[in-house]
Amino acid sequence: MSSPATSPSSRHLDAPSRGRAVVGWCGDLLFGPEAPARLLAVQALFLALICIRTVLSPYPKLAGAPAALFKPAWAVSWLDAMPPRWVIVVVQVAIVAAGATWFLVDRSPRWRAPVRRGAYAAAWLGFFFLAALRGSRGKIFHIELLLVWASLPLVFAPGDARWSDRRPQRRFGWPIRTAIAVMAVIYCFTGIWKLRNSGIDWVLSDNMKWALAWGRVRGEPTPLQGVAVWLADHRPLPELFAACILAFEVSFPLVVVFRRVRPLYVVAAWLFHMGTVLLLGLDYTVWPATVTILLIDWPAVSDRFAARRRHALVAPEPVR
Amino acid sequence: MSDRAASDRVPVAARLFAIALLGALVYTGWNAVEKWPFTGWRLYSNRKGPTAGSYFAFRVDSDGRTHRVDYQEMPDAYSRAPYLLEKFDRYPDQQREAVCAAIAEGQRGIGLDVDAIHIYWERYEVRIVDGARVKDRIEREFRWSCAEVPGYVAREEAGEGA
Repeated sequence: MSSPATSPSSRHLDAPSRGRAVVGWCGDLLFGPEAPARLLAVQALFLALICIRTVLSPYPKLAGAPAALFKPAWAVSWLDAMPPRWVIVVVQVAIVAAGATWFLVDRSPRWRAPVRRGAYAAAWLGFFFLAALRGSRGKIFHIELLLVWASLPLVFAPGDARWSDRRPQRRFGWPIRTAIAVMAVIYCFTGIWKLRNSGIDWVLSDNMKWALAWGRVRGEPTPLQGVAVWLADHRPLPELFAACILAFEVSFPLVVVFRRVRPLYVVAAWLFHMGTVLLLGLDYTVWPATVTILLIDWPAVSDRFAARRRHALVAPEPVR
Repeated sequence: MSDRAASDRVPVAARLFAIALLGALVYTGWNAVEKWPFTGWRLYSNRKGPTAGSYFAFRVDSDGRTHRVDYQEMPDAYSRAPYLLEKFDRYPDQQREAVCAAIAEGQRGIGLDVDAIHIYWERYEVRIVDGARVKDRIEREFRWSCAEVPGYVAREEAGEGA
């Protein structure tokens, strides 16, 4: 379970004190301490993901869309047409430059904090703009939205986190914990809406069978279309998949409270989203990447590897 | 209180921001407010069945033959036009005409002959026969003719081209 900074034994407290302890525990879910090293790792990985996405996604191809096909997203409703190609390319270059600056400024302690904050904010804003353009084609485009929302709290994070600093502090913790809560809300709503729109029949009916049978609606067939059709034809596998997906989504907020379940959700996210890519042709790989960045305690993983390496180095040679 | 403990506080503005952010996501999520970047997160929430229907655009050439519009042949800017077609019955004539004109222009842009764009409602059924997927068209209904060149006269449909 998440370790709140204040964890008095509630059995020995009077009612007001117990109330304060509960409020403090709830507050710690969002505003509790984390190691500065973890904040640094999460920011670095988010920036890397944003830059990779910016470079690899075909944003410049959005240019030239006829006005009738441009339905500006609410966030860019001030635009009356898709911007020209050069504007999109300039934004892409600015995002990558901001990302590079964030990494390079590490060598300058004097400028590190303000420049890092500015660079992260610039990269996020640029990515937000590009994602909004993609969402301006007549339908909400969800693929980048989890990353957009989950990386937002880190725009307001302190810029002076150091990799060598492992002492948990609240001012480094709140952006990570808030981002995890944001991600949990989003995943939970994807499950809630399945229940609201279709009820438990989303699992118990032939819904998943037909989803697998239809496969990719537009474009080339998926690499594993044959497997998808085979699965669709073998009850109760489709119902089992549907149950796992719904349980994964609806229960996602558990990661906010229980640290121990986080690795399980990372694995489940990759299985779920790789399944949708290979079987249905829906490429949501940005989502499990975002889950991984936020739910893995990177300094702890790094320390564990370092300790194992040290142990391997000092371990005596086996006697032959 | 030590200096470090005093400096290790979450600013009030940060607390307010976090609560407002989560509150906005919960409100827009629950009420399905579709104003990007806010959304209801209704991803694949409707039950799928063995049949599904949608509007499809067809190019009519100067010989009167109809050809299904292939968006993959066209620039990426056109790739989401099918989503606009899904809302065609809710569009006013003027908006429908503008979308058709854009599709016609895109088709001409890749060297195709376009006299008009026809919009059909089509319904398909998927079945699994001997472990293989079989997709059949079970319904086809002409709905609109748009983006017509001057002097275009609708003829008896000359058949569906490749």
